[in-house]
Parts: sequence; C-alpha cells; structure tokens
Amino acid sequence: MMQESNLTNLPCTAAEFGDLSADLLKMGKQVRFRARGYSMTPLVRDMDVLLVQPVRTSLIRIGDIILCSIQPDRVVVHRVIRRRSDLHGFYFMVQGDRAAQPDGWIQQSQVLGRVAEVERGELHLDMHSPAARGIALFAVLSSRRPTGRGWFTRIAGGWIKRLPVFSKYLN
Amino acid sequence: MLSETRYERNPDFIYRKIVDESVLVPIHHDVADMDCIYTLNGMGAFLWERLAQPATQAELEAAVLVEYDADLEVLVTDLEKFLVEMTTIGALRKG
Repeated sequence: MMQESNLTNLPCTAAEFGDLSADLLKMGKQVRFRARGYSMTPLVRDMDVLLVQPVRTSLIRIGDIILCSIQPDRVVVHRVIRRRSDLHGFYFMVQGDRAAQPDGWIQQSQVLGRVAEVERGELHLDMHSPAARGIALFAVLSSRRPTGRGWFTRIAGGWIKRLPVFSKYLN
Repeated sequence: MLSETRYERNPDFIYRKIVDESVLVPIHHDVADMDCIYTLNGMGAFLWERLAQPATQAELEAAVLVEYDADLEVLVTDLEKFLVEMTTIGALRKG
C-alpha cells in the first residue's frame, strides 16, 4: 500500500511539480529536489540537488537563482538578470546561465522560491557565499553583453574557472 | 484480539495527489525532501484520509470493509503491514 519513491520516478508534470512545490513553500517549508536539465550549467548541473527556500519577492536581488513558473506548464530554476517594480508589485527577468536569450519578464506571483544551496555529492555551495555571488555577478554581466555570450563568456569564463575560489563549483 | 493502539498521522508528512498518484512528502527540519517521498496506492490513500482522525486497527479494518470488497484475512495482513511500514518511516504515530 506504500512505496518509497522520488519525484523523478513519478509521472509528474512540471505544473504538478510546481503546484506541489508552491504549496510547500507557501507553508513556509524549504523544498529539496533534484534539478533536471542543462540550462544552468556549469553551476547547476543535471541531477544536482537544490534547496529552495520561501522568499519575499521584495528581497530577491539581481543574480539570485529562483524557482519560478515561466509558463503554466513550465517551471524552471533560472537566474534573475533584471528587476523592476511598479504599483502592482515586482517583476523579474530570468535567464538560464547557459541560455542565449532570457525567458522574459515574470510577475512576482510566478516566483515560487529562491535557491539557497546547490549540492553535488560532497560539494555544497551556499548561494549567499562570496563565491556564489561572484559567479552570479559574472552571469548577470555576461547576460547583458550586447553581442551576446560569445567571446566575452569564453574568455572571461575561462579565466574565472581557473580561480581556485570558483573552480571547484564550475569545473 | 486486536490491539487498542490508536494510530495518528504525523503532521510532518504532507499528503498530496499528483496525477494518479497519492504521495507523502516527509518534512525534516522544515525541509520537504522531494528525493525521498512515498507513494500510496488506492487503499493506502483511503487509509491515510481515514486517519485524519486517530483510529485503531479494528476501526480501520471496518472502514475498509465498508468501502472495499476485501477478503478479511488478506485485509488484516495488508493492514498490519501498512501500519508497521508507516510507523517505521514515521508517517504514523502510536497514540
């Protein structure tokens, strides 16, 4: 009548995963799950474990990685590269670190939570750490290059990956 | 003779229906671990819903017999297994 499982084994759609995560985050719980896909490599890789925390949208900063619903049936973990607000609330432009184009602007109601930690085996990266903020700064600057992510990303990214403080997370 | 032990849900297990699956998500230190969740079949889900109020094994058996056309001997065996497993993982507590 009962069986141990994990969410990746269930025929769970992105919308259902989003609903379940949103429910738990609204209850004030943190959510730990395995990331799927490659849009945030090299920082977040397929099958890395992410810890997502509930967050007030007013506290989300440029460079943060958030769990958000960018379409009714598409939930992603992408980085905030721009932010604005008006009388109706906050808006965030999100983009995968590896993606050529942003996903577009999302409203605060589409934000489910903020990534607090990335786990890969024994490696744990606290997203508030200087290393994570440094990587975030580079990712945001890279996304704003008018010519896209070509030569700038290759040269600067290669240099950053060699720095000891970043190399263990990016190589 | 059936035990008078009452079973109650552990509130640190969150129950949700996903597609055709009923899942229990354990919460440890305020963290919902989606990598270690439990799926319940139809009767398991029925029992979990019935356990919204604490119940004894006899009360659960009676509730199942009203809802399902079950063989009593098989039901007793399955129910005992269910209660042991659910207690072992911490989803149910003995009151």
